[in-house]
Amino acid sequence: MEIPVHLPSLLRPSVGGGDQVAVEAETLGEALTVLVQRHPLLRFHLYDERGAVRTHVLIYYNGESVASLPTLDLPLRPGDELEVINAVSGG
Amino acid sequence: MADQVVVLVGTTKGAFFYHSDENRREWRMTGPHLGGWEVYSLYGDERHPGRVYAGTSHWVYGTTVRVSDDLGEGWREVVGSPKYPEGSGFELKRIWQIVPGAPSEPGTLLAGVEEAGLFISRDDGATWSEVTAISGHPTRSKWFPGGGGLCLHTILVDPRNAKRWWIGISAVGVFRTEDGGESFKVCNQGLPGVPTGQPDTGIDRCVHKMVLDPADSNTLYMQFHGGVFRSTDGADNWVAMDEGLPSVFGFPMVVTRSGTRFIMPLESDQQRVMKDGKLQVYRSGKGSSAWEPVGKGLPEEPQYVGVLRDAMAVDSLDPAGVYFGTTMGEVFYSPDEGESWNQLPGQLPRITHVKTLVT
Repeated sequence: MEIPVHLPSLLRPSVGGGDQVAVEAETLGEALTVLVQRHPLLRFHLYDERGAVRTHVLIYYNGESVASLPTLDLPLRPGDELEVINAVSGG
Repeated sequence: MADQVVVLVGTTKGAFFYHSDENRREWRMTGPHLGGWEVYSLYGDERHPGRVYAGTSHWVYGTTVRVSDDLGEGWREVVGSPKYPEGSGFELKRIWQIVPGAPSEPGTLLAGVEEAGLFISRDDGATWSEVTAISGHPTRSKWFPGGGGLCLHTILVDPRNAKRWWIGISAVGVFRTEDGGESFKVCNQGLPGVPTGQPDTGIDRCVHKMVLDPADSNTLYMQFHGGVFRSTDGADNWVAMDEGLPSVFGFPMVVTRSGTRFIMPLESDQQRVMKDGKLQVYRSGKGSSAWEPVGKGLPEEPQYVGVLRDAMAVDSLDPAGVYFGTTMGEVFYSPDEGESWNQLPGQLPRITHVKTLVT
């Protein structure tokens, strides 16, 4: 299953300039792994030195933060999408 | 004869480049480059015409090195950028400094980062590896961040000995290696401690900026948190040299190829703005241990601004150009070693970094 990953403007140069990339995977967890394998610069920007998603990075799966999902072992379906945004943290 | 002089200005929101010829009278600005990213370090590589390295960071998306081969028209992000290994316990927050290795090592670059660490590239910046003798230094557990963060902000490379470097870390001090980064000696003798509430361990010396005398690899100068110092024995011992200064607190220090130094004292660490609102550069000529105010043309009206530690630079021409950027985003320059000053066009974001490139 191929799904789109929408990216904020600051991260588009890290994937060649487009506002989205496609990843081929069977599950949500696999999609997140494939995303940084195919686009290794995103590993710098999405994950910290502990391997955790950066504090102010939100990765949404169909409009819901993946951090709030009980599992990433979810089969991907047509129409699914991922989106990276930064958390609004005051200011 | 120089064809082009470029002043590279890093800010909290992108970089801006000013272009001129060797006369340095007419300037053209390009930018913002890398808009939206903090640019805490820039290096214009005279070994590769048009190449500029930038240390970019963002409070959400982290830190990488980016490289342009056409003075900022296009950029590529470095997949092999400096990064602490997972599980190290360190976070790479910013890249404060990118400098070349010795002339005998043309592919070498060094990067100083926050949290304090040192990275080295042997392939023109394509890949970087951690110099573990810094992050694993025996004194590491005694390091605490100063007001600017726990940053390794100064790297000096002996042009006559590729394995001899000095580094400066805020609120920690000076370290020297004689073996190309295999080991580092603490070089804080003569520098006063800063109040930490802890017993004096000799590892709480707040170096703000250092320069190396171009003609003598054993002579270094330092703007310290509370003083200006000189060493004539390779940083083994430091002696105060603050005669003529209105304040001993400040951040930047630069040295020309002929050995003239420039600093910009600020009103104490409690205020950190120009003393009495007077935007003033101080100069110390080669062979002198005293400082004198220099220059005409800087604003007469009150300027309660700061100049950050890397926001001052000189170029390699004769007479040397001197440049500085303020925390309010103004860039001033002198084409004649500080005698006369003018402002470059534009009001920029907070200026973090100023470097020059002469080709």
